[in-house]
Amino acid sequence: MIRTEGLTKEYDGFAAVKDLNLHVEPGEIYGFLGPNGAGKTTTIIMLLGILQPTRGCIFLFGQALHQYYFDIKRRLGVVGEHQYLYDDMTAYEYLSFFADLYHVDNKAERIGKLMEAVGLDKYLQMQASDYSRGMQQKLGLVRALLHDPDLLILDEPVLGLDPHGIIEVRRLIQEQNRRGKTIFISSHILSEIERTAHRVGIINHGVLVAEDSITNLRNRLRQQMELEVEFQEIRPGLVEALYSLPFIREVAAQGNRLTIQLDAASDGRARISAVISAQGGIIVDMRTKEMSLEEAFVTITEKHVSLWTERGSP
Amino acid sequence: MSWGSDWGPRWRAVLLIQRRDLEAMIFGWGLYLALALAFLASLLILRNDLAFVNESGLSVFANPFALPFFITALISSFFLAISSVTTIAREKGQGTLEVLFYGPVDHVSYIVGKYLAQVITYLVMMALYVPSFILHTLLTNLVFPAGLAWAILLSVFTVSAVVALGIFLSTVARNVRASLFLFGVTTLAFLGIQVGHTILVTLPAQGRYYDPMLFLKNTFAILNQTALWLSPYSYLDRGMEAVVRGSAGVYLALFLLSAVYTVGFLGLSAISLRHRGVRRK
Ligand SMILES: Nc1ncnc2c1ncn2[C@@H]1O[C@H](COP(=O)(O)OP(=O)(O)O)[C@@H](O)[C@H]1O
Ligand SMILES: [Mg+2]
Repeated sequence: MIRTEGLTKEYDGFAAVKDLNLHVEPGEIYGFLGPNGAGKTTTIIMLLGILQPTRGCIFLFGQALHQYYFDIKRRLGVVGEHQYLYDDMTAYEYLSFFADLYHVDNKAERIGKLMEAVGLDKYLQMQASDYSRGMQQKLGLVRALLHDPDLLILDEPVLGLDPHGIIEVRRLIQEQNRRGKTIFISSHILSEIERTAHRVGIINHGVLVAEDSITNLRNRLRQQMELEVEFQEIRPGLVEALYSLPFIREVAAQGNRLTIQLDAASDGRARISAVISAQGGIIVDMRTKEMSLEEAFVTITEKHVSLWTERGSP
Repeated sequence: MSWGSDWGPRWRAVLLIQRRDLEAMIFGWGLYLALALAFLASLLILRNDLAFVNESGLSVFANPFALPFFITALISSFFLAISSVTTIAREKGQGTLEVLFYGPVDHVSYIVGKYLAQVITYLVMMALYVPSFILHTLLTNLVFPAGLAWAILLSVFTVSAVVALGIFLSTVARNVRASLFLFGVTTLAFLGIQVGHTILVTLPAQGRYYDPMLFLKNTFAILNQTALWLSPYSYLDRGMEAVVRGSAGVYLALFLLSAVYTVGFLGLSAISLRHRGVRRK
């Protein structure tokens, strides 16, 4: 459905998106995850042909956009990062305009049905620009669904929604997916798409650092454990000694405290203690923490850890 | 973006963009302000002419509608130039331009749609204005001159050229203010050259051997010649003259020139829009 090869966007030498190879399969919900500034919007805008990539190719429905521009655009439903509205149109006029643009039959009925699904049918005659942020977000989604597109591209569609709104939007997305539609959805909050997405790609600093099913990702992340150890003092050579242990992934020092990331599969706490005492270190306090998926995501993105290295298969 | 094929869906986008702009124009107030100004100016000129006819006792007056129509067309094209120069910049500033491009709209369809809206607005203005001329001929015993019909036809093309230039400036500018500024500078440059040339021509030469004035005069003559070809405002001026003089050749040439000018600047606009992007900055 979506395929990119070496997709790259550079701004004056700064790469907002680097060598991105995305594969989104037909019928799946693909979560495109990354912190703010990771390059999600830049990627999406390139997918839509609005921004020219510095390098790389894009295929939508297996075809290059510039060759089948109108055919492809008609099969796409897009909710952008911001809901830009005309300030002289009611919600109905706004939707009606786009319904005409996308050649939608029975537009009044279609608009009514979709607006009802998001609980906005009572506000059809209101100026769209007077809508609250959450309402505008839903209006954008309705606009994107008007022509019953085969592929939905959504850039942070639940940003600014209240919990109730998030559930409504999630339900709508899942219903579309059940009807066989492919959905590409970006977010900077894992929990927002954790329950909906079949697969996620994690992008950080423009680089795709992981791409897997939620289940696999969760299993893999569960295997990580964080150990917080407080010392009287940190002896020189201690950190190096710890790194010699095979199950240690990362050690970070802060004052008299070490934060140690290790594989949870083999509980290496005994061996860590042994190494520490061999170095003459005195432990004041030691705590373990199993990472939640959310924390793992934050760790991956903040510390820029790549998960590719331990990936079994491509 | 493919240029050749896809005219079916592209045409749909053109018509929708055109329709939306035209509706905004008809429900806005700018159009009526421009029309009112044009009416007022024409009325004053015609009354003046009639008074002259009565006083001088002349029974024939060559082209009573030439000047009123010229003023009307000038006011209309000025209004359309301003509205076209702000339209794209505004949509870009609002961000709504980006949303259009999520869907089946490309650079060419967008530009052509914008252009059509402006030109159709001009036709609407003429549809409101011309009957008033006819009414006037009936009330004053003046004859509706055939030349006026020719002038109106040509004006559609010269106004097109003005609109195309406005749209192009709009795609280059970053926001509404910048585009208005660009438009102002361009217009002033064209007018400045014309006025400068007119003044200099009337000044007598002074020095016998070396005259700096001569150099200035020549420079302005060249500039004026260039502006004559580049400024779409001058096309209507010359076109009216051609109609009055009955020189079909010049008239046809201006027709063609306006059309080429329009197509050229619309093409440049599409390229510029593509190059500068459709996203809000
Ligand atoms: N027009 C631009 N010029 C320069 N840098 C840009 C531009 N657009 C985006 N960036 C940079 O590219 C990076 C990715 O931005 P973006 O794709 O918006 O991130 P995300 O959507 O994941 O929050 C950011 O560091 C941003 O500052
Ligand atoms: Mg973004």
